[in-house]
Amino acid sequence: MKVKLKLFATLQEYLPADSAGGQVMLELPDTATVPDALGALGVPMNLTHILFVNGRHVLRPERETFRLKDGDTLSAFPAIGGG
Amino acid sequence: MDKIVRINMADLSSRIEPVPEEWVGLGGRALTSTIVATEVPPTCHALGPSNKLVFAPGLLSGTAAANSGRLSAGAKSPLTGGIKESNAGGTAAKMLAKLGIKALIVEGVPKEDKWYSVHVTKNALTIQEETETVGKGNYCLVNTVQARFGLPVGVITIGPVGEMKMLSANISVADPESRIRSLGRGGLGAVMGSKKLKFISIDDTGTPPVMPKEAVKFKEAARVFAKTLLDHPVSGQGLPKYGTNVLVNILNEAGGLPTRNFTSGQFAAHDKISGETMYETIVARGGTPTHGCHAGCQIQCSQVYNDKNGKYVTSGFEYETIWGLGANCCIEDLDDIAEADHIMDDIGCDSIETAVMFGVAMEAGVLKFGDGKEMVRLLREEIGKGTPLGRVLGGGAGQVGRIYGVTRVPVVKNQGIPAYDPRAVKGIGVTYAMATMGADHTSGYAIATNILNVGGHVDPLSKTGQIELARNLQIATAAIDSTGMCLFIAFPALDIPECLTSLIDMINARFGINLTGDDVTALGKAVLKLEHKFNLEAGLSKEHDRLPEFFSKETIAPHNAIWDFTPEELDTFWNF
Ligand code: SF4
Repeated sequence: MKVKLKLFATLQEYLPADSAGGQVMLELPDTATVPDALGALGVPMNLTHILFVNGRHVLRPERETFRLKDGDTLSAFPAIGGG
Repeated sequence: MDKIVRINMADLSSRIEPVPEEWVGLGGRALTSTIVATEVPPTCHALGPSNKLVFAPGLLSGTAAANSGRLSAGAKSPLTGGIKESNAGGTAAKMLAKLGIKALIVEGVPKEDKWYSVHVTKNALTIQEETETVGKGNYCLVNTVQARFGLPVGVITIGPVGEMKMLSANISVADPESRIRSLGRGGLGAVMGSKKLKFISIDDTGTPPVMPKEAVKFKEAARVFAKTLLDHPVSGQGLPKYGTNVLVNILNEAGGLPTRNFTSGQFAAHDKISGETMYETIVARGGTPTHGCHAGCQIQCSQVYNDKNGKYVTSGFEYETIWGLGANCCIEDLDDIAEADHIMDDIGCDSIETAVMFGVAMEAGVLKFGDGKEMVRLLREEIGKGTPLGRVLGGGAGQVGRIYGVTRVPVVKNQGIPAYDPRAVKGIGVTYAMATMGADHTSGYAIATNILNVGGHVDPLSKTGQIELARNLQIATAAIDSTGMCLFIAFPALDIPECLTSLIDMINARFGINLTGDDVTALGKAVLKLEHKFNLEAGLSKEHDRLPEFFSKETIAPHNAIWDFTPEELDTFWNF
């Protein structure tokens, strides 16, 4: 299946050099989980603090086993803030 | 010895008073709101002689405590018609605290149609007629005044927008580099303008640092406190590197980035105005990504943004400004937004109110969505010069909506709604509806828990838990705003218990008292309640604790979210 992975802030250093717009399209097995998708680019789970699948938060502890679907968008942020 | 200084503009006199017993434990917002609630008739005209403009450093300002240099200003707001406190960094808070000035209260209006300035030193306070800086912008004013005294004096000032008493006028302070920080919201600059006070300068020469009553205890608590700021990833890493503008992308992902005057929750060109892009631009142009708005700031969320030629354009370039002129007005060029930010700082108008206003003005057809050049022209040539159109626009989003017959006008209590869509981030919606200040994200920053997973997580798209969240945050914020601390200490405070305990330890050591955590919560509650009472007496009833109708009629993409709190549910906010 295909999953869009978007990385932000300091996590962008894990993007392949030829990627554009802070995102990559991943080809993953149909059983892939959130950690599988992040692992595909070598992003350590512990550096991610905020994760969205299709704009909805995926939280601890479910995020460790959360199954992705074909066409999903996974967005990952480190701990950030503002206001 | 701490004192209260009163300036009466009616007869151009001043007097010094001892601090009344009941004000001793108050600072910052707790003190400005207490003074306004006690001394200003709630139904008075905000620009008339009965309103008072109160400046107060926080409880810890002037000490070595990290991030303690915020200055509060309070008055009845001409924009909301209710009570107002607004705060910013700069050098003035520390100087006032070193001079022992717990509050500086400006009363009355002058008899003659002349402008005045006030100069405060260790030994004297002088009120003088001012001519040289009248009509001048804030950048020029700060340079002129500091050159006049030959010193980096503290400066509290208004620009032309404040002189003309427009409702979007802010009050500005000089930062350590003689640049501008702003006490932005609620039109307090118009109150200062109504008193014909162009600026206050402060010279703290000859004053020692503020000495805590229990120095050893204070030093230890300050060390623990500073460490928690460093240890938390948001205050220790995220804010220093990217500033607040890192929020553009996350709000866009969450579908809560109000776009095109609050008609969508996502902006196609988000990446062009994002914190990540801004960081790279700043570094490439030799600017400073990490910068503090006052000397003791350890977090340093501010930055210095240069133009293509490496020349200074603006600092303190905040997410709310960039969202407001960017996504909300569909302007994709960060340089246009930076130029607008510089002009707003210079002419002295609130960048949030003005950005929300431009969204409404674009919907009205005054200018086109995305037209950054025309926006810059309107700021400089119309608002800054006070033409009839400029005065319409300078009155804020609510006024422009009324004049042009726009129905989608994002304001609460006539104050523009910032940067986070209340349908897609419901906790902040409750804050907007209920805040005594009108729509003000800083009153109870539910984004922390709704979006950023700080202080736990409450689902932004569900109603569950939002009222309690907004209430607790508003109570805590009212207390933090009283300490002189920058609100960004709330990020570590929500996650690291020692942050708050060491903060309380510092206050106790500073004054030789014994506050507990419960006392601090009680202070926050008391401040909110006295502000609410003032608003009720000023005529802001519970019907004003509501979001505009369009939020419950129009869904917002991508989540098709709608505002669905009932009035009865919202009113339970005040059950404490
Ligand atoms: S963190 Fe930012 S707003 Fe807060 S005191 Fe520092 S520079 Fe000012």
